[in-house]
Amino acid sequence: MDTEKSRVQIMLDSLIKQHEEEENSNCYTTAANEDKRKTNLREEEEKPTIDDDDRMSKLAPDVVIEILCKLPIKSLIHWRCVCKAWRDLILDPRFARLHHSTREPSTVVVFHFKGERKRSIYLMEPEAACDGDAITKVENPNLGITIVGSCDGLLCSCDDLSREYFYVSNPVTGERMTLPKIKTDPKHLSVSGFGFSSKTNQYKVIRMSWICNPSGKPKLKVEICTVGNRSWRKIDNAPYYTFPYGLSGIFLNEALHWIAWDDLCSTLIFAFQIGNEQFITIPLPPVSLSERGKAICWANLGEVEGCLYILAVEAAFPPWVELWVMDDYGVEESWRIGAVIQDPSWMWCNGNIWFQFVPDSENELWITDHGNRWGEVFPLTASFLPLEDIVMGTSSKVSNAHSK
Amino acid sequence: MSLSPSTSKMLSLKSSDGKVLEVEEHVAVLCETIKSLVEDGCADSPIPLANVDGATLGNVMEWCKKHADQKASADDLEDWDAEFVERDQGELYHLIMAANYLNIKGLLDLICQKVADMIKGKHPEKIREIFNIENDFTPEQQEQIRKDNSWAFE
Repeated sequence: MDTEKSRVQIMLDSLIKQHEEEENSNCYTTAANEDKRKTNLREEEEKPTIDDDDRMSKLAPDVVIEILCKLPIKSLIHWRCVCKAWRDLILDPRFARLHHSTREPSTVVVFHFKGERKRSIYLMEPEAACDGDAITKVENPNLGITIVGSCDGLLCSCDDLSREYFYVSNPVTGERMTLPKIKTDPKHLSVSGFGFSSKTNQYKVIRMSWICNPSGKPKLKVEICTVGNRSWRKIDNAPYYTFPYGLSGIFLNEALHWIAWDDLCSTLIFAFQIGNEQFITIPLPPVSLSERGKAICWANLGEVEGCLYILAVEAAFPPWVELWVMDDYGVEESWRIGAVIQDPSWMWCNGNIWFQFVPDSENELWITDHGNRWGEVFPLTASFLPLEDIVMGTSSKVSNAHSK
Repeated sequence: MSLSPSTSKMLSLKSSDGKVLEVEEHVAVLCETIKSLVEDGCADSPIPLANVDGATLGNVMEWCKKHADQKASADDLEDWDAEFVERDQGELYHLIMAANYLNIKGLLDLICQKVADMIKGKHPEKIREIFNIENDFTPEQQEQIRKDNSWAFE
């Protein structure tokens, strides 16, 4: 905890220091820089004296920030160990926010399953690839943790033995907070998800549980915890749906999405809107039979480049798989075939199709995947955002996994 | 405002060490700072650039001239830029400061990327060496920082 205190202290110090230096705040906006430049041009007559031996350390703060925003996270960690001034800059939450906003969400966290229950978190940074340094282990093996989802720079995980504890963490800074305990009946099946609403500026974790009951309709129990709050809430009027067990909700367009079955066992895409906490359904692609007249089943709902995708799998061997992409969110007519996958070596097919990567002709597409043959891939915009800065409320204690 | 190369008039720019450079207006306005002066009608006399020395100004204008050339293809520019940034640290420093001062986003991006590439994948000791920065952490602070970020050093 001492580390945390001193970090907060440093942050405050550097904030105050910068505030004094640039009274009109908004110091990172171009408008402010623009004004500064215009004034400089007319008023500054003297050339600043430059010590030839020590030039790069004298770069203007806005230039340093330009450079830092072009560096992968791992390099930034090295950078902040160079000297106090650079450390303070990176610890400033305003820098974290700016760096975060300029990042492509191409940084990915990989969960690798080594052995039965041990899982490590790896950070994959395409920008660092040229140094042969693209994959870094961020956290050591954890026992019995399931990833619930990722959103911005945060990961949400759940203790998968008791299923009573949820955690929100930033794998880059190592900060982690434990959410209030949620009562769990071991007989219940459940799915969970993690998302954010910009309307309420809140991160929320949702868990939906039900009992498998061959006779009668399964009634869903929906519980929500706003990250930072002291307790879980129950949501009424949940529909009579069930889900493939254990799958995490796909976060897109401020809603969490799952493949679900209604009470007549037809497949549908079910969404929970984080902001207003309403349930909606999204139409499936317009196919029910493949070209060869075989039945289609739906698998691996996911997100690719900001669009919802789903796999249509022909029940045959080798499997014929179409990847459907919904270009305009919620618009049924906008479903199109994004790719046809005919190479079964790309996937593990066991009722749960898994694949990593679809090379496009021009762009590389990262596809989130929730199978678990080798590991799980979650998109994550790696950042230094401190948890306290992100999460409203103070009821939860923040600890640091890296300091242990 | 459309400025065609054939009719472009000349602007004079005066560097910090008193050198005056004649530059075509359509080239010089790649500097947002100069562009706003031109638009405000304040660009008649030699424009004093107090923070840019003559040699750096020459380099900056060389970049602007290349990038104002509408015949240059994107590939061509990329190759040219790659060669342009092959300079020593001193020159890069002056270019970065000039690009920031004159507000030339393209040039600033280019040089910042070059500097970022110099830092990428280097350990703190090496970065200190490159930039000649003194390590002002106490051994205890150093140890704590390493501990907090051990993953990045493996």
